[in-house]
Amino acid sequence: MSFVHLNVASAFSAHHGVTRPEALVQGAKAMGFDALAITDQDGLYGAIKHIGACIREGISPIIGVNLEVKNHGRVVILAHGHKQGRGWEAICRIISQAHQHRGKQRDISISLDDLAKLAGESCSILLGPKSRLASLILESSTQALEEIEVWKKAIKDSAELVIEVVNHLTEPGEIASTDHARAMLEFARNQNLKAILSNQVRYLEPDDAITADILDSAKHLEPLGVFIPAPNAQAWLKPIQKMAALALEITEDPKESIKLLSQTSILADSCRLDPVQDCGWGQPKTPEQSALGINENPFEVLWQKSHTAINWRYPDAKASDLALIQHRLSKELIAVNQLGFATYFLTVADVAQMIRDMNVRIAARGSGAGSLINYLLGISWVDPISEGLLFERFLSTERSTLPDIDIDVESARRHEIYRNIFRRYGGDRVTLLSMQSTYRGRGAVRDSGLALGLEDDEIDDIAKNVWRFSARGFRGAMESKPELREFAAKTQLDRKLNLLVDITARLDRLPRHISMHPCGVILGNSRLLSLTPTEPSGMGLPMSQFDKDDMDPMGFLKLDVLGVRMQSAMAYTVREIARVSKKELDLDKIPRDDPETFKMIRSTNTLGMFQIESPGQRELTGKHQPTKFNDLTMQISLFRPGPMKGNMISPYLDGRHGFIQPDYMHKDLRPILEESHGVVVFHEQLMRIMQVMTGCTLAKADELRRQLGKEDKQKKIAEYFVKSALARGYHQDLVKKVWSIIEGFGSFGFCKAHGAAFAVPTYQSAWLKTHFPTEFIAGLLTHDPGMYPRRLLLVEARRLGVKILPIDVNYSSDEYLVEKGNQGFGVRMALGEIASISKPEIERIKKEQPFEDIADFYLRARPSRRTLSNLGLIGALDSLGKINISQGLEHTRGDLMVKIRAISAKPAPKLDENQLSFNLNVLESLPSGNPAPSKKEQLDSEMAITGMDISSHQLEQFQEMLNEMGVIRASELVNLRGNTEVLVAGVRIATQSPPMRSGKRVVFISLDDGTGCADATFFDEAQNRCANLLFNNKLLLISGKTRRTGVRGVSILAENAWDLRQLWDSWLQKAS
Amino acid sequence: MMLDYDGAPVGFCWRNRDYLVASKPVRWYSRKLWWENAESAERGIGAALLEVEMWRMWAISDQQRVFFELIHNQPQDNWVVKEISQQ
Repeated sequence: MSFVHLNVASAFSAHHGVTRPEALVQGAKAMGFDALAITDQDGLYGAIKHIGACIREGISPIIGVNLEVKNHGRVVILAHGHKQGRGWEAICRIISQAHQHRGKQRDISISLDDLAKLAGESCSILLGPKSRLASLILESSTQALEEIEVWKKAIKDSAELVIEVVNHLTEPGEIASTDHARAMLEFARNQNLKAILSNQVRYLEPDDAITADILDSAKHLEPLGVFIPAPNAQAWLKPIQKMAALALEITEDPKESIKLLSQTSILADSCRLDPVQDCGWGQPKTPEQSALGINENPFEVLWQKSHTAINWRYPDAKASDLALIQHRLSKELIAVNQLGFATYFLTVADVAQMIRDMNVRIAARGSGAGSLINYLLGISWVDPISEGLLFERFLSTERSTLPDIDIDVESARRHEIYRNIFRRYGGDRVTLLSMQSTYRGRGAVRDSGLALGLEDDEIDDIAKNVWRFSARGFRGAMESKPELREFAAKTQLDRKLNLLVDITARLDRLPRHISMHPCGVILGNSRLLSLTPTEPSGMGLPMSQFDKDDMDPMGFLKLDVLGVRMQSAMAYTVREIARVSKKELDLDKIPRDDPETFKMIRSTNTLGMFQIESPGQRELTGKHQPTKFNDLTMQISLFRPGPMKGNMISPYLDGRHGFIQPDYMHKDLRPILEESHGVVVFHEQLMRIMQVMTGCTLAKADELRRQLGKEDKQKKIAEYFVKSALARGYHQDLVKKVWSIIEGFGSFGFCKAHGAAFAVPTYQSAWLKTHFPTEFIAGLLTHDPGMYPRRLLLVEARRLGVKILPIDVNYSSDEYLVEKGNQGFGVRMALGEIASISKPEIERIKKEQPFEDIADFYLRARPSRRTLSNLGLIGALDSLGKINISQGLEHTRGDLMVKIRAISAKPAPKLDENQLSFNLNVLESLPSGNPAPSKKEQLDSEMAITGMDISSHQLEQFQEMLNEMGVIRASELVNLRGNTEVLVAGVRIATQSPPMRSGKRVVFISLDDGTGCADATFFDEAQNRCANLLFNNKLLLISGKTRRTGVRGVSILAENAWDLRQLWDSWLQKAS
Repeated sequence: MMLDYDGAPVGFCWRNRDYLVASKPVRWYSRKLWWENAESAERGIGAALLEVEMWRMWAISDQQRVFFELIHNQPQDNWVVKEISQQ
């Protein structure tokens, strides 16, 4: 007797299925099943993971989908296997069709006619408990007969119609009860239709039914108890014995039971997929030559293109250099040819060229920067030869999967690029990539809170403190994290809160919803849409239902075109320089050894510099003091989780500053390790050490490196290394020592190509900040590329002496423009910063500029009352009201606001020529004698309306108190000795809690006080005193001791923190 | 409560009178609104938190024939007998 589950929803049926495909397959294998289906709702979201798991476990994959058929309920459609992919294609096309016309409500469904047409002869359609037929069988036999006639007529003899019998042992008389299952089976017999048994599986084990309840709540967006819940906990992956018992319970006849089970097995057999034949498993798929505009052999084209580009990239190369370049290029080309990836490289080069032709900034990221071919084809902008980057780290003949080439572009033009890619290669060869977001801490808390019917405020309060731990670890976190202590105590008393912790943990890591991947584009051949189902993405273009992990197995070429705001900010800066100073600048051609730029970097005022502006990087900059491009590569690479966990930073710095003598171990290793003062930091260094000491190829060295992290492989690699190194004559002690370093290196290192690729925009942004600060600040403010709030950019602008011009309806636009005024250049703030202002309002203001007076503005720009009032409050209308006390003009902003209130009390005027003159008279003059707003009122308005303190720094209002308390300015910290007791105050601009080697949590807080940033470190004890403040409060006072970390490096070892506003209130009380 | 090897009721005592099952008992599973009173719901707590086994059957005593619903509570393993109708 055999049986196969043909209706199984995995966790990729969002807010429905509970178990991930891999776990279902493992469970099925353990129960002795030799095949398993996955039939997720509305898509193949989990299909590739399912097939992969089936291949690993050695059972047959079966693929289907659970789909709503318009007016006929939900059915399961199964693809037939061993059909040269026809079944798979039919399922893909059916799903894409069902998604095509979905509206905002995501009503995903297909018409019966479309289904019949697309299903062809390669599918079976299961009419089960969720079909309309199933409920009709329960209610009315005549209607059930009519319904099946409709089905038969539509499907005719194309797809196979099957009745799916399910017995969930629900209450007699209900759907999926024993008697209902019996009726379904009888109906099938009378209609001469095949019947199969399934368990309509939603989860692996009965216990998971509790999780299913919570997912149902998330689906309904209602608390448990409000909607009708699942009838019981029977929808689990039952073993064959249980399924046979159910069959017997339905048929009450052993012979009939066996027949039902064997029918199921027969259908399963015709649905077993051959992954290679049916889905093209593992076979690379690239656009056809014709789509790339190539007639000749792709490899020859690649050879030609890269050779001709040598002159472009290396115009001044000497003969000896050229020989080196030629040699390297030949090596790379041979590998590419051997792997058959020429088309792939040509495709990426073609896309890169297209992007450059659009005049968009482009940079490569990742290991692709290690390839000379990429450099020559204009995909990457780092010279891999001079930077010591290795091709083998990127592409190796030991692996056959397509390598990742990631491209960074201006974020503001990303969608434009996507549309052009679709246009260039055709909609049948391109789709966007999707990603599944999964439940993490906060999301899980929110949906669990909803399920239990907690109040929104209560949920918010809890979610706010769920920081940096997974939902699974909620209980553990409650014991160890001070900011959760209060909550932990509450759970002892409150049953619901205690339940919340349990069910939050249950949701952890389950897929939540699908969305567009931030940068992935799939480029295939003209069969792409037969291989992947698609659905509309947020931006309208179709997106594949597969995610990035599905790309390799499916052999899809995925291109990461990542929008980087910094690239937009830099492009904007260059355009402003051209517009204002008439200077044409090619950022990719500026020399990379400008001393002024490095001086600026060394000052640690790195705000706005790509990759090195975070508090941690700023501190490291102070210690490191970079002087050349490779230093930037070094610094960016060191400040990564791997090298940080591997504790590489301090030995490197000690070597760099000459505190210790670098130990190169052997003269052969010195050239490899010199740049990092004897510390192994880069993957590339490890590969070269392996190569030198064992004599293996770099490709093999990279393979070995990849296996280092795996315990089972480590021993074999050790044996190989020791044996080969000894054979090459290295001393036993040395071999031992080097191996211990390799072993410890494990997964801690970093790919130098990544670091070098990042260092390019780092250097470029630093260069712009040094030489064109005004334009650069305008670019930063417009495209907001960094980790800090905009208000901090204003602080930095003030510090740099860049003039910030306030928002003014006569001069401001939607961007931050550089403006030439009486006192030189300044940055004019943009209109978009005003809360409540709409796009059409901004457009009208831009179009109608300039304005004569308030009335003129009101009539032509037609702002809403709220926008008008907001504009008035922050001074954007001052110039229209001729308000300027210092120039002796009579009106104040108070007068203006009175007038605005008078205007907006009446309905807005119609745009009627006849009325114009009348209205103008009414609005003519301002009243006088109303007081101007105080400095504090002005600041409060600015913060409320723009989120920025424009007229002065937020901290100034507390200055009197801060002076009395002896609070130190951030800029003064650098002059203090180590271990000095200090108080600092400011606006919290960053909170970080990076992973630490010890596993203990450390919280880094950065405060801005207008003179710079003060960085404070909170260890366990300090966190105990004030953890809740650190994550919630904006304005803080921190006490602690200074800690010198380098020439320009000072941080504060924090002891305690206070809420600045609270202190202020009590200070005021004491004062009065 | 007397059960057969499959756990199906064979006979029971109700209101001081013995009953024997007189039709094929129908087993089904109902659910509980666990969120209303559960103290915890951690992973692995088991489906008994949510689900409850039910049986429906005719049973006869020396005096009458009654249609019963039996509720089998787990993990306590206690039975609740409910009369639905009499003949």
